[in-house]
Amino acid sequence: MSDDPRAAGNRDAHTGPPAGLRRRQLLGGAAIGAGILGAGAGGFGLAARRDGTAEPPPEDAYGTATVPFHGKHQAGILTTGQAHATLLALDLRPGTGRDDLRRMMRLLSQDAARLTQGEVPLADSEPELALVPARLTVTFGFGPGLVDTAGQAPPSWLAALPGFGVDRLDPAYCDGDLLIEVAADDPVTVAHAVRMLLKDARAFTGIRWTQSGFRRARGTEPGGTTMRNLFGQIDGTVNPAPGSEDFDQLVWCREGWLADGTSLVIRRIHMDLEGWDRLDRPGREQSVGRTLGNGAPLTGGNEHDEPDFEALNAQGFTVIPPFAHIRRARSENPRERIVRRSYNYDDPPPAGQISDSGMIFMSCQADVDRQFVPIQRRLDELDLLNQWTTPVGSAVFAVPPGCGADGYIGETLLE
Amino acid sequence: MITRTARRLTAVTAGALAAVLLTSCAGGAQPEPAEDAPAADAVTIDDVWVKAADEGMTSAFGVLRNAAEEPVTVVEVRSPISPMELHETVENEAGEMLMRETTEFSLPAGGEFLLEPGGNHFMLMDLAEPVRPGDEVAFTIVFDDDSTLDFSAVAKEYGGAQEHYVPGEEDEHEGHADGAGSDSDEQHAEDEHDGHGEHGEEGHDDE
Repeated sequence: MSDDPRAAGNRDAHTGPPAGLRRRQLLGGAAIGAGILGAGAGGFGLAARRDGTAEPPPEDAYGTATVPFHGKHQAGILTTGQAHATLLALDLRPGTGRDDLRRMMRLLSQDAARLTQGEVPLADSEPELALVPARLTVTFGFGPGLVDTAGQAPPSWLAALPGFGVDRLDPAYCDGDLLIEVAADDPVTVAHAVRMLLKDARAFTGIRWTQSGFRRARGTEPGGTTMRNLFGQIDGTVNPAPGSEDFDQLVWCREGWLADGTSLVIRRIHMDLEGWDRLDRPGREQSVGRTLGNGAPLTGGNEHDEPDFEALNAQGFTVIPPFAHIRRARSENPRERIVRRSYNYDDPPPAGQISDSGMIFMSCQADVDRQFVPIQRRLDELDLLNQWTTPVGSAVFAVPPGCGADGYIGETLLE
Repeated sequence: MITRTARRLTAVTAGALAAVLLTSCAGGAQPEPAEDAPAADAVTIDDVWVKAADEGMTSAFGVLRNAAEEPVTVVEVRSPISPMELHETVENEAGEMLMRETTEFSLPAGGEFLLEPGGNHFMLMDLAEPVRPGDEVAFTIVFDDDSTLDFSAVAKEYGGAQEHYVPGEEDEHEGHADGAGSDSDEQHAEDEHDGHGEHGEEGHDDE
């Protein structure tokens, strides 16, 4: 595959697209070939000109960027959030057994491996749509039903979350046997990958629910900018840096078939934009405990500075109120933390209204019961934001570890 | 996923093989010295898959590559789960694309030979067992020097490749929708409601 410019940054990618398509791809890609050599894992290698200035990245550099599929961990957990994500929750058809799961996960893994590298999967009837990977990641999660079908006892935390007082859950957005998270910086790429993966899964599963979300488009703000939700709040500031020891400790499971895997909590949270409109800026900032401008704690500094929860104002009250979201979310126990990875949603409003918006909240943690649940309990008891936010969907999945080029996702459970 | 082994089925005599090579080189500008290399050694097959089907007929696809400096000829393909034929798709006088059995595939020197829906393919004529999505199906390609190439192909659900074919009806058989959706293909598609291609979707339409 050395003649394929797209393969340069992805040595672990295996076979390439069908020859006919690869030829077309090469012809079309001749002009960009040189600039793409450094693209990999979402970054750019800027080629140096003789005069020392850097070549600008090619115009389609975001489209050709890839994230490796194979590895110790599944892609999509360490990956900086892409602009678009679609979540598919599937239920196994009655009678599906362990051998069926093996065949299904092999098919899904094979197609995900190719699609994420911009290579055409086998039997793709729209092969041209597969050629823009745009940092596509495909992440698989197993619900309790699938683990049970595989003949294993699910970990204690792999179950529906305990009920919370704030919940107004719609079963149409809850639970599921198999989760497929498809995320990329391009919506056409997401749509095509979803289509291919659903065709693979169709013989074994039916759709339980789907959700699609978005963030700002890639290139519209500096890389590493913390996302904003549709309340205008900076969301996800306290996430540890992917790859840091802190991140590893919080996220990765250690034992059994889930070693190097994690868990994913998905909460669909409706946000009352009309009610939020009635709250002026000071009230909005008090409800969270951060400024809206740069996300700094109300006690000052910048986004990533530590809040001073003891600081008092002139009237003798704490600057960060007792009901503020960041105070309620914070635990004395450093193990009670999670890594958030959320997307906005903005669906067609019901008749007579002008918004149906919110957030697809996702969090990764090694143990849902020890990390996520205590935080959610505190927020359930008191968090001023609850006034404008309502959980309407909830699901928990076990995210198995990654796999090698000859393996498939789920092999640690199914082999 | 894909295993490739090239071996010679029988002890082909060096003389017989040399004769084949010399014949095929006769038109070349620079005849190569006859080598004792089986045809299978020069050939690889990639991107192989077979269309899932519960029964009846189905097809297998992939990309054959011939690294040799002479063309090599496929004369047969076998599978333990079905009798098989080599099929080609050709245009008739009316401009229709028709599928028919052929006795050989000639793989060009240093080139590729595509097996794809709507084109040349390996046809499984009568499945002895269902080919389910995710199954691995074993195949053996036989070359004209009796050397063979084994491979396995993963089965995938596929809505196209609606080949309908009745062996022995006549020399040219019914065509099939090739995905490009030409008028002539649609005309043939009408005949295909009882074709094997429907079987892959059975049981999945309730969603």
